[in-house]
Amino acid sequence: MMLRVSQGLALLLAATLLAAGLTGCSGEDNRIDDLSDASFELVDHNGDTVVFPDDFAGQAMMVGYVYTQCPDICPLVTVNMKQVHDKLDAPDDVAFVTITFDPQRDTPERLRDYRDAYGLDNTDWSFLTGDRDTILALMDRVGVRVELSRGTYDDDDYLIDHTDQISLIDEEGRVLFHYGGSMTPVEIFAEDLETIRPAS
Amino acid sequence: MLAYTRFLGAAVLCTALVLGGCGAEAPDDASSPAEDNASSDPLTVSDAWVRPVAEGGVTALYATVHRREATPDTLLRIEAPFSDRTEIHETVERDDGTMGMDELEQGLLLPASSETRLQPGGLHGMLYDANRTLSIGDTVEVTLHFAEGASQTVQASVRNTPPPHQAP
Repeated sequence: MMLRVSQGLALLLAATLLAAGLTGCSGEDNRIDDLSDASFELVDHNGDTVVFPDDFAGQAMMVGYVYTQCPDICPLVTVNMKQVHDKLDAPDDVAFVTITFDPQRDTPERLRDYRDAYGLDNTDWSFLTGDRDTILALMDRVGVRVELSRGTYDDDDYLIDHTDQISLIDEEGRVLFHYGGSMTPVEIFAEDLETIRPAS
Repeated sequence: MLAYTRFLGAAVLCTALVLGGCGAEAPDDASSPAEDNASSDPLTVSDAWVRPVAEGGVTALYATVHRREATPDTLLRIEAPFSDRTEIHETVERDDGTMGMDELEQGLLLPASSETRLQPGGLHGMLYDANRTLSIGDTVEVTLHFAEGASQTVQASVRNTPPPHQAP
C-alpha cells in the first residue's frame, strides 16, 4: 500500500511540475526570436524589392522555406500553407510568404511561374528571393539549414538537403512557432494563427 | 518553448499517422502484400498523379505499383513525353534532421506479391525539365518500365494532393 501511495504522490508531483512548466511557456517567453531588429532586402516574384520582415509589419506571417527544384517535400510545405490560406479564407491580417533558399536558380521569374502553377496567381502571397549572402543570413537567422547533397553550384544541376520548416511570426516580427513544414496538420497552423492574428 | 512543444506534438501526431500507414515510408515499409482484387495482371499501376510544374521545372510522380507474381521485379525507369530526364528517388531524413533525396540508381525493387507505394515524403519519380507547364486538372501520360520486360502506360492527373484510391 505504501508503495502505491508513493507512486500516486510521484505522479501527482510530476503532473504538477508539468503543468507549471507549460504555464511558464506562455506569454512573452513564447518567442523563439525577435526579428524586429532584422532587415533583409529581398526581391519578390514580380521583381519588386521587399524588406523582410519590415514590409509585413502589422500582419501575422506564415513563412515557408522551399526551393522550386524540390518536387516532394517543398510542395508539401506549399500545399500545407495553401490549405491554411484557403481555410482562413485569405485573411488580410495574415501574410503568406515563401522564401527560397536557392537564389541562384530561383529567380523572380521562376518563382512567379511556380506560384502560378500552384494556383496562387490571384492571391497576395509573396514569393521571395535575393542575393546569396542575404538569403543565407536569413536562413541562418530562422534556423533553416541548407547543404548541397548532389552536384555543385557551378553546373546549376544540384540537389539540396534542407530543414523542413514553416514559421509563424506575429505582427511585431516575433518568431513564435517553428513547425515541421511538410508534416504538421493544417488544423494546428490554423489554431495557432488564430492566437496571433492582429484581428483576433 | 511552447513552439517546440507544438513541434513535438506535430511530430508525435505525424509519427502516429506514419504508423497508421498515412505517412512517409522507407522502401521496405512502402511495400505490402498485394490486396485481393479483380485484376489478374501480373503487374499494374494505379493512383498515378504528378504535381503541378512550370515549364523548365521538376515534378514528382506518385503511384501504386501492384506486383502479383511470386517473383520480384524492379521498376527501372520512368518515361514521360513532357520530360527527357527522369530518375527514381526516395526522400530521407538525414542524421542532422534535414530532409533530402537519394536517387535509387539500381531502380526500385518490387517484392513478390506486393503493393509498392510511391507517395509524398517517400518514394517518387523525378521528372526534370518539363517542356511545358502542367496545371492542376491536366492529365499526362507516363510509362513505367520494369526489369522483367513489362511496361505500363498510365494517365496521371496533375494535382496538389493524392487522388481518391482507384482499383488497380
